[in-house]
Amino acid sequence: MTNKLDIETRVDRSLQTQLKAPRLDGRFDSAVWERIAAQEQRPTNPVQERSMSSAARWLFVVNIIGVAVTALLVVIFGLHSFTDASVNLNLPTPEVSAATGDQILKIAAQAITLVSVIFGLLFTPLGRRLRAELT
Amino acid sequence: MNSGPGTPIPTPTLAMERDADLLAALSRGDRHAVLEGLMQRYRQKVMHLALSIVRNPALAEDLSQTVFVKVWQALPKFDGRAAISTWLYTITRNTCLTAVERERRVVPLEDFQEAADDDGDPMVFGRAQAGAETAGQAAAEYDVTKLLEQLPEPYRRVVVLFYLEDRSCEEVGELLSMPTGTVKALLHRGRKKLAALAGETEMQS
Repeated sequence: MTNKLDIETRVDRSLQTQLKAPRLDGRFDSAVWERIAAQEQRPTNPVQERSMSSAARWLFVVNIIGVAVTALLVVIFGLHSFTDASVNLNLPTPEVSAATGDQILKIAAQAITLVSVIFGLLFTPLGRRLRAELT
Repeated sequence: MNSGPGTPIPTPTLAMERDADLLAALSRGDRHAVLEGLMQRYRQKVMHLALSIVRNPALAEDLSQTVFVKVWQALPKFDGRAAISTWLYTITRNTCLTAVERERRVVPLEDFQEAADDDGDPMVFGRAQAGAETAGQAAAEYDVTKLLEQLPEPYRRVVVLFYLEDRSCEEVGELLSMPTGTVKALLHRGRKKLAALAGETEMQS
């Protein structure tokens, strides 16, 4: 039976002779410089940039509306709670029959769904490309 | 280099002193010279470190190139608090570990052989690499690729780097950001495990 020390010596020798890495030279450096040059020359994607900025614009507008509505509600309920000043919110409501109401709701729901789907499609890759070409 | 007025001046280490010229070039804004210097000094070490992690020569070389491209992009942000070599090795480890994680790359032994053959490189981690050996020597040696396949991390990484780095525990410690004592301990246990595995292989055959 081969003794332990002999095995260890042979393992050590095997590791010494077999563990080798390829030597890197100037060709490696050239390849790195080429990759850097290719990366720096790569044009930025104008479609993506435009869609990013338009998305940011949308977000900004929605945020502004949200902040304005919140501020308005705070002012109205603040006035109601802490002062005697009453805010008259009795707005005239149009007289609509139940059948007409249902019809309006149905049309409104369909319109909202359609707008939502179109809005969603605008942010798909195809939609972005279309918007970029149209604008 | 971004060292503002409030930034404490780092204590220069040996590695920092070694690369003082590169830091000077960096402070002059000569990014080109810095990368040239880094590649000349560290490309082989980066390759060794990458190879110890991914164990595929072609992939290791590709990742080493990626490392230097990343370094080029990140150089303006290097603050000089750590040695530039430490920073470079950290980028290398992260790049390779991310690649391994992403691809969950398991390299079968056949692929290992093919990768080396495709590049025309000498076979890495294999018996065929030692071309000058006699038949008797070849018979007395183990196939380290097979043995290393069975060795768990972190022993494998330390063992591989130790032999690639001309048996220097200090170099391995620097590459893996480990104290030399830890490297020695892992190396000792790793070799014992390899010997045990080799013994088992002999018993089976």
